[in-house]
Amino acid sequence: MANVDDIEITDLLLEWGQGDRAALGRLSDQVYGHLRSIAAGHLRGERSDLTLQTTDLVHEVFLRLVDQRRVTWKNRNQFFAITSKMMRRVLVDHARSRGYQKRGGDAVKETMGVLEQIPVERSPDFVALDDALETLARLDPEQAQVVEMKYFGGLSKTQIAEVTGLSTATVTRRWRLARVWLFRELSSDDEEPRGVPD
Amino acid sequence: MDAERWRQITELFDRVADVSEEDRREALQRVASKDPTLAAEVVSLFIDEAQLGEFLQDSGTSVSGAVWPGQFAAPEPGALVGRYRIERRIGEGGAGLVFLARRADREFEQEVAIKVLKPGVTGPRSIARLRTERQILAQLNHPAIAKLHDGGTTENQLPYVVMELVKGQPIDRHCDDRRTSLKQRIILMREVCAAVHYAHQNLVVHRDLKPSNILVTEDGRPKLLDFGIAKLLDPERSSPAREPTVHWLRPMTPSYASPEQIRGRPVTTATDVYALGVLLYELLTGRLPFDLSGKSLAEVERMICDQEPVRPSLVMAELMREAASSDTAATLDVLCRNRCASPKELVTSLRGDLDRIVLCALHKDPGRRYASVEQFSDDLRRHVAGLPVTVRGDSVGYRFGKFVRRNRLAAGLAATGIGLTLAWAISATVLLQRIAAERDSKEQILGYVKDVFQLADPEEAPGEQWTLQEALDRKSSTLVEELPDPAARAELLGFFGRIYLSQGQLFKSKELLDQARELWQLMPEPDEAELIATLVDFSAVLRELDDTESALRWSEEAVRLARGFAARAVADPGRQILITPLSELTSVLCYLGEFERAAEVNREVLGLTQRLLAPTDRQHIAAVTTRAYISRRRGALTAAIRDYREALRLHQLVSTGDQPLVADVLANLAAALHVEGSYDEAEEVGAAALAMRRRILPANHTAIAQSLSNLAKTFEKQGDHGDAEAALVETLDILRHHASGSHPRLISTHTSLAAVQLAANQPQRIVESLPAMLAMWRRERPRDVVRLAVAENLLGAAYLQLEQCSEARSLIPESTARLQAELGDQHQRTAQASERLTELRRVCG
Repeated sequence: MANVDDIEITDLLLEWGQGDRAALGRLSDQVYGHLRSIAAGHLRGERSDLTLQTTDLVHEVFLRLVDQRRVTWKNRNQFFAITSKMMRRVLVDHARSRGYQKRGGDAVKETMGVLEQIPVERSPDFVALDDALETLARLDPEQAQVVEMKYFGGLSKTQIAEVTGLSTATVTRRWRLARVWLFRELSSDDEEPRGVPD
Repeated sequence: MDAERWRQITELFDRVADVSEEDRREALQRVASKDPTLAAEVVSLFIDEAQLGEFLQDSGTSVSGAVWPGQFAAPEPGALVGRYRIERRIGEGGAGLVFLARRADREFEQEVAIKVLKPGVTGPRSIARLRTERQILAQLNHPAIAKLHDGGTTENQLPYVVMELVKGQPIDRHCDDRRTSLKQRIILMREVCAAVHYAHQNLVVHRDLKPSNILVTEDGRPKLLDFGIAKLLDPERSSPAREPTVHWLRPMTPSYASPEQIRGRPVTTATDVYALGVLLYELLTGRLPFDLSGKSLAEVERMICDQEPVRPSLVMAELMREAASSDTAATLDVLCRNRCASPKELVTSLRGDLDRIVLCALHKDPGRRYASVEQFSDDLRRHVAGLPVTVRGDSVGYRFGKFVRRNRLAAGLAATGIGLTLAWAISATVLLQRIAAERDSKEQILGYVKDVFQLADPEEAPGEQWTLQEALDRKSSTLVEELPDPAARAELLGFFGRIYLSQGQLFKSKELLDQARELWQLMPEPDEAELIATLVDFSAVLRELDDTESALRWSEEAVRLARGFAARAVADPGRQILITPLSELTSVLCYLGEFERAAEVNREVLGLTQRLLAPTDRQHIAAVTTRAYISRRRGALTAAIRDYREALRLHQLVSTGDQPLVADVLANLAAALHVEGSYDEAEEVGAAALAMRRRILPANHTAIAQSLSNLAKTFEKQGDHGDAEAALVETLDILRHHASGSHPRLISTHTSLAAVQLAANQPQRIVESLPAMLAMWRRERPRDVVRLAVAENLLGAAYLQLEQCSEARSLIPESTARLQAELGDQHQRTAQASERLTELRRVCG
């Protein structure tokens, strides 16, 4: 199953697992590239809820890129965590570039190539969500990470617990709190109430 | 908020999140004594959490229930709110609870409705909304709007509103329970309109019109309730619309929400017109325009913003059709009984005016709906009174102009019989407008169009359907030469070229389009859109004529020009111009067998159609169809069949009639089914495709030939050699009208026919006709090695069957060797030839 690329990804994953921080950057780049191309093919023509499909994508990337025989559960979940982050980047980058194109303003930052076809514009406002997550990460990085893994990566709470080392109950509470916080953050831009004198 | 405060909140939240409700309240009260704001913060988190719904929730995990802190409890029966004593709860909205209450003063025994905020929904925004509602109601005094009596603030500083108590039923239930006829429903609807119009005159938009907010009282009068999310249109204070970040967080009822509400665009009186359109739709048909149940947010958004509603009469017609075969019969029965009419009567009453009135109110573009509720209501009045209504849908000119612009080829293809005349008339009109400056040529064209109409008009030339054709033949060349202006000449040439293309007259079409193209390209500043369209059609003709290399060149040129054009377009719709050239390029690449590239281009097309067009738009459906085709050619049969079925489904949403594109999809589905080995279904679907093509296309159209030759293959797989032969003979008859005798397609069809005849043990027929053909092909197509070898091999096999060994020996070994060299040993044709070679050695030694 595994081709040359896959072996490299598996190696990087193992190296990182053994403490080689540099491996993480290279691994992330690899995953990002693969995710972009797989996402483009996978989502071609589909218009339904993208977030549901990102879950499948993250798992598909794992099955396709990682040599299953050589990795442990822990490696696997770490891989999912990275993939979640990259999925977030793929979606947000795309949404941003789409946004630039729409305004016809700034020179387009990067060619999205095949990814052009992912129909994210009708999906949640990833850019706003991304910004809000950044702000949340400054308040509590753990909460932001949980959202990233759960929402963008489709990881289960148990998987998130394994990656982060938190208990499942704590993951659940981080998620609950982060969700409320994000909801408030994202809805604060809603129509202003009109001050009507009594 | 700083990180430290958030840490404290998180900590407290962690402590109380997983404990019992009672323990939580206790813990929070303890904290409240030291740090009341911290406790309040955490309480509000739980409260807000209960409001989140599906927010970020992709797996539907439910959120554990939140607690209501005691101090915000809802009023209990017997409690006093202002001067009113609460009796019982009678309603609940997004942010409010409504109670039946009685004035506590002795002198009045008046029942009222009191609206208070829901416990937990007491944020500043909710409070402001209830105040707005109170202010709005105070301005409105109309018999069909529930009146404001009083208002005030409770002990804990929360506002409340006291209103007229309306005892009645939601309008939809009222109509059904009373078995109200369509006419009475419309009359009732007009009373609702009067109330909404009154509100609009007072600068109030309701924004949440739906049956549960429109009660009908015992005496049959409607009353509007719940201005809870109504909005004051204040011309002086209105600010430029801001795009909300997450617009689905806005309060609304999706089933009645307009595209602008869904998209978070500015809301105007047209929003209420839309909701009234939905309501009328529902009262008439018993259904909502869009079935949103179980749909994801993205899907809901797509349906409301992009999908055209099925017109009311069609809903009923569909229901009738379904009822004939399934258990929806009971539903239909109830529906009709509640309207005191038979299904047929309902369809007849809905068709025409009511369809148009409803669809106009439901237009996606607020600017194209009725300009006011009053106009909407007036058209309903006119309809009931039997007067002509003002709405005629989009004007014929508008629709056809758009249609012709969007897809010239399709417009041409759709044009048959009277359809052709219409398309012709509209195109000619468009043409006339375009070259209006050229006085002389305009008059010349006008005279010409008149001539054509006289010829095409059945009254003038009865019994001759294709007089238009004759007119074209007679006039096209002379007329074009008479035009002084090159742009006008090019446009007209292109126009005639398209008409010929639509009729399958490829050579004439090619000639004219080639001239048009050349004229445009010689001009220093050509009409780019027109040039692009001409190139696209020119490529289509070349492709049909199997000159695929040239087709590739011109379609790529068209794409290049269109990209330049699109890049200069400011708005997104400008990119629409890319759709046809890219679609044509996809087709060409398919013809060339370059499916990888074709798939790539097709993806780009789908990206555009999905973004810019409705899913029922024919160009989108065509792109889905193309994707199916490419899947098939790449061996993904299941995906192909699924896409073809999807394309058919999309089609049937908009129309049930015969259409060229539907016939194409049927034909392709049949082919895919054939490849899959489902021959019975392939035959059924293929026969349907053929029948449809025969109904809508001229007798000798090449598409009919295609259907026939495919069907022949299916027949053969089923062992029906006779049917297969008949179909191929007819195929040849048609092809001979279009191409010289040595055209590749003719050669292929002849060889197919020979193969069938061979299988049917009719070698003598092959021997009678094929040798002469073969001689001609060798002469005219010496380089078409494979086709020649296949034909020679078949002829050899025929001789072999007749045991004419010397003839067989002169053909089979050589052609087999050539097939081996050209196609390789593995190819099916080579294998077949090798078998024949073995047979030859066995029989003839």
